[in-house]
Amino acid sequence: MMAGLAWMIVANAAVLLAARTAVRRCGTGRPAADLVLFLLFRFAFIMALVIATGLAGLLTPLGLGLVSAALLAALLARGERLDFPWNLDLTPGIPRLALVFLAIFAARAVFQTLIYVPIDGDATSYHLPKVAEWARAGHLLVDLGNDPRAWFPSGLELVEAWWVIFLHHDVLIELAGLEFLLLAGAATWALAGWLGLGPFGSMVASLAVATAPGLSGQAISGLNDGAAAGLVLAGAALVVHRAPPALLIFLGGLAAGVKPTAVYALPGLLLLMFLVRKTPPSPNPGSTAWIAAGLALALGGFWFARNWVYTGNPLYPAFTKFVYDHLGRPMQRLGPSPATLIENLKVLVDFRLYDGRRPYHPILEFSAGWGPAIVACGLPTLVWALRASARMRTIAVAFAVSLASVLAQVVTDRFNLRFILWFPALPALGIGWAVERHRRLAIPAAVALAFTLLATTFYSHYSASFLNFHCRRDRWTEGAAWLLEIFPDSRVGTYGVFGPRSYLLYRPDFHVEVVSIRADSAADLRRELDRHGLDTLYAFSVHPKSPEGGILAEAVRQGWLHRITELGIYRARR
Amino acid sequence: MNTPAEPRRAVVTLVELALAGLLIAWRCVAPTWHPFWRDILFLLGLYWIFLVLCRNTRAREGVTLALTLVCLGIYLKSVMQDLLFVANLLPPE
Repeated sequence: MMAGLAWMIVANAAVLLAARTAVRRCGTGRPAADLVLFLLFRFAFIMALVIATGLAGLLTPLGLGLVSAALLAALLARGERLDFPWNLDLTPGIPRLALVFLAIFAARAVFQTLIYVPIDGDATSYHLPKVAEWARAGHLLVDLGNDPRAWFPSGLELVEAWWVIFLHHDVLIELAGLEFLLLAGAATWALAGWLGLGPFGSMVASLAVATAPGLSGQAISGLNDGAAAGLVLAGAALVVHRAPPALLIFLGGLAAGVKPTAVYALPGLLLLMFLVRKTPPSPNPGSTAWIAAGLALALGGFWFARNWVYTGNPLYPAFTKFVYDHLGRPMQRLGPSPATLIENLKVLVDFRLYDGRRPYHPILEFSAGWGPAIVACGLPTLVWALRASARMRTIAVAFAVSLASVLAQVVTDRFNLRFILWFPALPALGIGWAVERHRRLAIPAAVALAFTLLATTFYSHYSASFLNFHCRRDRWTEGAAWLLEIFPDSRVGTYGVFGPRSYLLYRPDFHVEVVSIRADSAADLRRELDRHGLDTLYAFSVHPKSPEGGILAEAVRQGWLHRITELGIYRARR
Repeated sequence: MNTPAEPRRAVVTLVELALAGLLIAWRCVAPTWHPFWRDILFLLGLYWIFLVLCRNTRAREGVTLALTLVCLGIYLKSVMQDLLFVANLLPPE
C-alpha cells in the first residue's frame, strides 16, 4: 500500500507538471481560461497514460508509476517547473463567509470520498465493473461483462482507474468525479470573468454550480453525466475566451471519450462562437495546440476503434437490440423531435424543477437536481441580469439553444434531466452578477447554499440504512459484513444483461473474481458454472419474464440451482 | 445599466412583455400539481413585468430580494413534501 501511495504521488506530480507545461505552450493567456485548460490537459495526460499502460498490460502500481516517473523525469530534465502562475485575482474582496463555504464544501468532498462507495445502479452495472476488471487484470482489454452499455466510451472510468490502480483499492475512486466537478466550477469562474464579474461574484456563481445537488451527487457516484456537464461548460468558457480552434477540437476529443451525448449541446456552443467572433482572439499557439487536438481525438476515438475491431460497429451497442429495454421501448432516441422538446420542457419547468418527487439522488430520478440556490435565487436574478448585461444575453441565447437541442434529443424518461446538468451555470451566473451589485441578495443565496450543503451531504442512496450496508466504515480492510455473509467465496458468477450491479461483488480491494456468465439455456448455464467452477450466481437484475429469468426458473425447476435470497442470489448444487 | 437605445426601446419592451406573458401563460395551461401562486415561472413572469415598468434600483433590489425569499420558500416546501427531505437523513423503510 505504501509503495502504491508513493507511485501515486509521483504519477500525479508527472501529470500536473505535464499539464502545466502544455498550458505554458498553448494557453490562452487568460488566467481563468488557462485554469480550465490545465484541468483538461491533466485529464488528457491521465487518460493517455492509463490507455498506454493498459494496452501494454502494465496497468499496475509499478507499471503506471514507472511510466509516469519517466514522464516526470523527462519534463524535469527539460527544465520544466510546476508553478502556479494564474492570478485568479483572489483578493480580500471575497467575504469571509464565501471562503468558509468553500472550505466546508472541500472538506465535505473529502469526507464523502472517504466514506462513500458508488452504489448507483448504472455505476455498479456498467461504469465501474470494467474499472475493477482493469485493476484485477492490469490490462485494458478485458471481459466487459454482460451489460452492453459497458461498451460506451469510458473516459471518466480512465480517471477513476487512475485513482484506483496505485492503491489497488477503490477508496479514492470518487476523486475522478470530483475533479470534473472542479472543472465545472472553474469553467463557471471563467464564464463569470468574461461577464466582467469580480472574484466575489465569480466565486458565488462557481459555488452555486458545484453545490447543485445534481452535479455534486454525480461527482461522488461514479456516473459520467456530471463529467459531461463539466466538459460542456469548459467548452463554453473556452469559446467566450476565444481559444483557438485546435483547443476546441482538443476539448471535443476528450468529450467524445467521456460521454458522446455531450455533442447534443454543440449547437449552442457553435452559436456562441458566432456571437463572440468579434471579440479579440487569444494568441495562436501554433502546432502545439494541434498536437494536443490530435492526442485528444485519439483518446476519444480509441473507444470507437475498439468497438469497431471487436464488434464491427464503432457505436456499439447503438443500432442493436440492446437499445431497447425489456419491454421493447427504445432507451434513447436518435435525432431531434419538437414533440420531445415540448414534453421535456414541460416536465422540467412544471415538476422536476422543484425536486419534490424524490429525495436528492445522483441519477436525478424525477428531478432536475438544480437545488435551491439555482432555482430560487438564480432564476430571478438571471432575469435582472439578462436585462442589464449584453454578454449575459449572449451566453443565455447560446445556453437556450443548447438546452433546446438536448431536450429535443433525449427520450422523456425518469432520469433524462441529467443531460442538462451544465445549464444551472447560467442562473448561477445570474446570482454572481446580482450579489456583486446588491450585497443584500447574498442573504438568500447563503441560506440556499447552506441548505444545499446540508441536504446533499447524505444522499438518499446513502441514507442511514444504506450506511450500514454500503458505506464501509472499514473499507480499508474487508468491506461490509453483509456482503461477506452472502458471498463468502472469492469467485462469483453474474448473470443477466441490463443492470447486473456487479461492481460491489469485487469488494473494495478487488480480491473477488467476478465471472460474467453467458447462457442461452439451463443446460448452458450449468455447463458454464461447471466450466468456471462456480457455486454462487448473482442474478440481481434478471426480470422473471425475461429470457434469462426463464432459464433461471428452469434451472431451479430441474433442482440443481437454488435461489437463496430475494436479491437474486443462487447456489448451484454439485 | 445597458438599457436599449431609445428608438429600439419600444420594440424591446414589447418583446420583453411578450416573453413575460409567455411565462405567465405557460402556467395557465400547464397541469402542475401546485397552485399558480406557488409556481416559480408564473412569479418570474410577474417579476419581469415589474422590472420593465420600474426603473428604481432600490425598489428592484427589494423586490428581487423578496422574490428570491418567496421562491426559496416554495422550493423548500416542495423538497420537504411528504418528508422527503427527512427521508434523505433517515432510513427510508
